[in-house]
Amino acid sequence: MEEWQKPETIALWIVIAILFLMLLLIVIVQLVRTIYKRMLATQIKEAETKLTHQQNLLNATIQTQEKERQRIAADLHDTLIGQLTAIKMQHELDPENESLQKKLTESIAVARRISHDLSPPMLEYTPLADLIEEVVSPWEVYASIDAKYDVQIEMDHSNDFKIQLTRIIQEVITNIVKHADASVIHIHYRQSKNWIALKIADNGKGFDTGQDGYKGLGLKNIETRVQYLNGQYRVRSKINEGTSFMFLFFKNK
Amino acid sequence: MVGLSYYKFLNTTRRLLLLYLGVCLLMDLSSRALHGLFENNLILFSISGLIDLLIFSKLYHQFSKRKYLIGLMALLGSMYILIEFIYLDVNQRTSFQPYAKVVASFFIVSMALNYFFEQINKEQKIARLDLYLNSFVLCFFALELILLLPTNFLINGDHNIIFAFWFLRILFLLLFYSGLTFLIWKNGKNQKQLRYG
Repeated sequence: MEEWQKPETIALWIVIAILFLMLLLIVIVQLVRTIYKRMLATQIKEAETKLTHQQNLLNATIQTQEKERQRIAADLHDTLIGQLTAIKMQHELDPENESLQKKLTESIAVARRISHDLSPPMLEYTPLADLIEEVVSPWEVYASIDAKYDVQIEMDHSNDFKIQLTRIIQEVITNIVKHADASVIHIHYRQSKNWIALKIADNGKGFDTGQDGYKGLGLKNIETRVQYLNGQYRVRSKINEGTSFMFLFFKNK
Repeated sequence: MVGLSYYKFLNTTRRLLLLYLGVCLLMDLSSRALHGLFENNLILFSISGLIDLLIFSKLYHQFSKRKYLIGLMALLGSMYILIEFIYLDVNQRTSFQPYAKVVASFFIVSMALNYFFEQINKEQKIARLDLYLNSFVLCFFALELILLLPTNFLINGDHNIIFAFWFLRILFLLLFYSGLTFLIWKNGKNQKQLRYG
């Protein structure tokens, strides 16, 4: 009897062939899985790199914008306001130029307000709550402002953080005054050990947040600055029920 | 011929492949001579398995990071083939059933898969020709393992049936050798262009 005719030999061949094929299949599946995981990892890495690049670009844009504002504010303060003050002083003793005096005083006030808006003075030494109050108080001519400041723990914030938060508040209030037709603006600022929360709400006409393209330049600006500060924000609005903005910034981020 | 004409432009891997093709040719001629002289060339069956294993072990030893693993596989395979060779009676055709080719193919397939895993985990992109070479080796030896498992049947079985198996093997061999020749030619051509522009 030849070897290949023996049942045990045939059985052995079948077992070897099946085992080998199974092993090969398992290894190939594992290989494909590894390739897939690697592809996924590469894609995630690429996306992260892209995101970091965009974040860097955003930071650079905001920082450049801020520097430019500071430069314009300094120019306004040091040259224009100085010259206007000098002209005013020259005509102070001349009672005939009362209207000129008045106009000069107004011009100086406007220039000073623009300069302060562009770069708040004494930024380093002013606590954030006081700074917010300074920013919102001029808007009281347009709407009643109900502000609450709940500072549980005093903290040192960077100038950058202060200025960016100020810009966000300015942007939100500008939006309310321009579009909301509101009579009351509620501001609630809360500062704790680990986080800062800010809520700005109005009783205006609101808007539909479900509508495509509801984010105008103002809202995009707000979003950009919140991203820059690694914060979170949420907008809630309903037609004729007002709008509320919630901002949250964590201390350790 | 292609390999010899490009020999000085070939890298070590391709020279090994050329050596492999040369040895295969030599085995073919030897088997014909042995058959002519003794009407039995079964002795070459195990020897060709050992040669396959040694040449491809050397090849993957160059490529692989885990050289100890390749060395261990080559050692285990060679030991098995040699031990089997000692106890093998090549004159008894009816009981002739060596597993040398199967073992050699199994270890070569394992080395090829190991190479794939190593390349996937590497940061650099895999060279296309090396990828082709590894794929050729993997496919050919996986088929070779399955096909040459029933050696005894392929020697003693009904001629009409075994003809199909041998024909299939010749086809695989031709494709494999053509693939290797293509890789040698491609490498030689590229290297020549790099050197002479």
